[in-house]
Amino acid sequence: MISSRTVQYLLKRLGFGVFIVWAVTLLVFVLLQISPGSPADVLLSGGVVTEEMRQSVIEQYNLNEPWYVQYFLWLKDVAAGDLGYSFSQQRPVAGLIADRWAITFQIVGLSMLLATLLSIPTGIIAGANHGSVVDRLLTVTAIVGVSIPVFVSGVLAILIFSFHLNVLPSGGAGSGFVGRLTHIFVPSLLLGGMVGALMFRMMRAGMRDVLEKDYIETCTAMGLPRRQIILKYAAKNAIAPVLTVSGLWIGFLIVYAMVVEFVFGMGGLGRLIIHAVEAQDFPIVLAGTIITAVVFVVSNIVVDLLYTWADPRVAVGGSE
Amino acid sequence: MSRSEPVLDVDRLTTQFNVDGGPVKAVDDNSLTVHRGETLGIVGESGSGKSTLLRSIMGLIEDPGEIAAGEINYRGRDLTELSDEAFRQLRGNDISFIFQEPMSHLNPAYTVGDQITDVLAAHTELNSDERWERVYELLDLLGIPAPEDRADSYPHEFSGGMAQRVCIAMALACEPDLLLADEPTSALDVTIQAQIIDLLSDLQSEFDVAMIWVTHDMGVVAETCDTLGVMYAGNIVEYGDVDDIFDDPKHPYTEALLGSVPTHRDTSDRFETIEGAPPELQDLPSGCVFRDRCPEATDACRSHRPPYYEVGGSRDWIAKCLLHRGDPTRPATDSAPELDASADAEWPAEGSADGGIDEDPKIRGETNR
Amino acid sequence: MSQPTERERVGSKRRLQESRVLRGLFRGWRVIRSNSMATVGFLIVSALVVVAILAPVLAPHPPDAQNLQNTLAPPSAEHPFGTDNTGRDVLSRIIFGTRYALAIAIVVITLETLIGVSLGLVAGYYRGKVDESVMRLLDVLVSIPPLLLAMVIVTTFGINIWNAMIAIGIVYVPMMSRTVRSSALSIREETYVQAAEGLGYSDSRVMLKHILPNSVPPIVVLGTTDVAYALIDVATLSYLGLGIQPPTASWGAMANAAQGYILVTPWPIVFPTLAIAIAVLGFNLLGMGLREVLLYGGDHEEVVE
Repeated sequence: MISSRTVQYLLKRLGFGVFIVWAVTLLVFVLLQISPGSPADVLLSGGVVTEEMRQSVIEQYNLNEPWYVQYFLWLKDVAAGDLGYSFSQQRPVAGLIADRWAITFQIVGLSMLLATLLSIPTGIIAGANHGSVVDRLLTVTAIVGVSIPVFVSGVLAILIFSFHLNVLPSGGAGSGFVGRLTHIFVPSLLLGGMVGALMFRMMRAGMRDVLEKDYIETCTAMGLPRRQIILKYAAKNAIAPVLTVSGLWIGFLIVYAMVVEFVFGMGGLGRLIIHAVEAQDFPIVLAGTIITAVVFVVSNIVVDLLYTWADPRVAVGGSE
Repeated sequence: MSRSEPVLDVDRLTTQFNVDGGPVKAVDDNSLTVHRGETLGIVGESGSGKSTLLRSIMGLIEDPGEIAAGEINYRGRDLTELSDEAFRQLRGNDISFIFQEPMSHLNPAYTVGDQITDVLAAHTELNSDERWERVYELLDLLGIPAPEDRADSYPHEFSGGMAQRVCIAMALACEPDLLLADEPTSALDVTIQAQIIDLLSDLQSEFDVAMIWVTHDMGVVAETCDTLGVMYAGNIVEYGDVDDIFDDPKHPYTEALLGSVPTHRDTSDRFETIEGAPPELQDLPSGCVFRDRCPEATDACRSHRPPYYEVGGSRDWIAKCLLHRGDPTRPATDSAPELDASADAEWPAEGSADGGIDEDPKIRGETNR
Repeated sequence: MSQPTERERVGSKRRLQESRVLRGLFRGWRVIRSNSMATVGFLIVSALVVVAILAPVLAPHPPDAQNLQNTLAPPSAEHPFGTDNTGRDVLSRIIFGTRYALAIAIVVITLETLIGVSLGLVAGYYRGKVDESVMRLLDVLVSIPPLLLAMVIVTTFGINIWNAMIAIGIVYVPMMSRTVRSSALSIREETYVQAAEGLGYSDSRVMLKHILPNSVPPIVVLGTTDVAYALIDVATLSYLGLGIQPPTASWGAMANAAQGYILVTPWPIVFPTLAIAIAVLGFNLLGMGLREVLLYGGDHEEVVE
């Protein structure tokens, strides 16, 4: 199934992805340039500033050079893995991130898994039984799920489960496989619920659309059992648009994972970046943005691969 | 032709759509019969109800449509009384359907081989290998080159004509007794049309299948059909042997349809057309549905719905037209009631029918009083 | 002046009927009433508007009145929602908080529509290079999640209420542009547009008078649901301390302030968070109901979605 055309298509997407990441770096760099106050001040903010430090920062970041030279040199550093130095934390940014990224991505992963498990089957059922009691119930649940901000549900969950019922740990990330799992389960569930609600609605809408299509009528005319029509045929057709949008949601997921982490005090990237924003610690925010963009691009490419499975018309480079 | 048991006997079928303004009868009280090896053609303009008729037989009518009256007897079983599960077992297996648009009727996410094997899996006891063997057999039979490779192709990798062959293969997979084809060639190029028509005819003879072919193309009918039903605004207005009807159409609409087909012998500057347009099904005229466009229409036609007259001296040939008063009639039905005495009085004296263009003496001759 | 003449009365009536805006409003009302989700959503949103306007009348206490004798009190007759960490009445603050919620909604919708619709129209109408460059730009913006982009903007320009609202308004532009663009792409192929072009109408006239009015349904639907997400984002930002700061009586800021006292009493955080959820729910329901009617042409059976 991996034809040379598919490979070509993916290479194109990869190239585009690299372009996007590069553009993001440029965008953020430009923002730095246009911010009020000199870049040196921004870079230094959060820490105690002396004139010597200012000079050394100007040296280090080549702030006396024209902006395009600055950009190029900075880009070189980033490519080599040097993400700058955080003055508010007095540590290299790369190190700060290396300590924390694992937790965040575990939450993202588990959330995505839970979201899919929750939303796809229910979406199929709701879409296939449009208008029924089950459908209405599920839809209302989904709407409520989308409307509650994740920090709201997080706070409430902590209040109810940890303080009053004492069922689950209220904070921290735990250690060891089981420990980690118990700690990240509730936050991931909340996050997964939010994204799952969106996925559910799309899946349901997709099923509704697909079930009206001619090729489903053929299945009925050929006497295929209804269960097979819905689960094997309609579901696969309906999942294609869901896949397209899910790439976008990874972005949401990463950021809201950080929020959830913050609420649950879990020591991942969330707390780091949020404090960085407060302190106007630009290097950290910059680094976080770039990492997010990279993850976004990579997951979109993965999604594209999956999409060619769900809708083979695309692999050939065109649509019917 | 011997009178064997019909494969399909539709009796007074009415299919209606329940919309805001009230029920709309797309198929109004129609009957037909098909025997083994026989091809029945249903011909009519768009909106005449011919597709709905076919879909009703297949059980593909969904909300807001429903079968409101009548029986559909397949080999003695009434399909309208069948449970969903029992009907499902017949579909694709004993009764198959061929759609008009092959590309949109094949699932883009699965290979054609997958789709056909699923049909086989649903209705036969063949194991996986046997199913794939049968798929290759079928594709080969339908004239698709390199069947083993093509079975692994996706629908969008086929041309229109090839895709239709795939659909036909799927329909024939379980060796049905009855094949329903809804304008199977209308969406294809003209040259491909001819190929598919020949193909279907050959296959039909080979497997002795009963077939109903819905089309708007009289040429196709002439070539392939044994029996013909002409539909207008939900009603079958003429029904009988194809050759008989083509020679001597008994209903003005049939005559007009035949007249409008251009032939290479025509020398006039303009095409023959039928004035006007078919009526909206929500808004049918009183009396005969064709009266607004009929060159032979009379006052009686405006007030009375014609019964089915048995014409041409044959019990198998009927026309729903007052021109044939005096001929024996079929038993009264909802859409073709017995005429009462007042209709006699309104029947004009000979020679004074309004607007008649072609006073065909053969037709008029039969109504001499 | 004497009684208006028949002509004058008829004339003014006709002017009223011909007023496009009024016609649009009447139609909008019919649309909302036809779908149960939209009705409920509309009721919630209207309630918010009413509360916001009548805030000084409805609130039992001034929102900033501190009372250090009675901090973090549970709900009582005098303070139905309890008091916060400086003794201010939570209920009154929540009532005044509706003003901030609506301000956010207005700012976001305005920014998103003005910029997003313009970009989308231009891209969809001119196609070609213009379209490509706009879409590239949007693709880049889209790869940074809205909340993160807002954080970046706030980091750069400082943490205050305006930056937060404007940042969020900007991050939702790409979605709106894309929707308007695809609308414009298909509408421009319609014959009446080509007729207008043939008549020599200027580009902007065609875009504004022909394409835009017909793109209104998706714009309305998207705008409404985006308000819901924007409220969540601004509230989240404020809660994290990155947006609207306490002691401003916005719900997010209230949650932020109450977070620290969560071990002492849950009430000061529960009420603002519920208020946020309800407001978001209102806009979501309204948006979804509108989508059902405007984009799917409604259903002959009333369904939830």
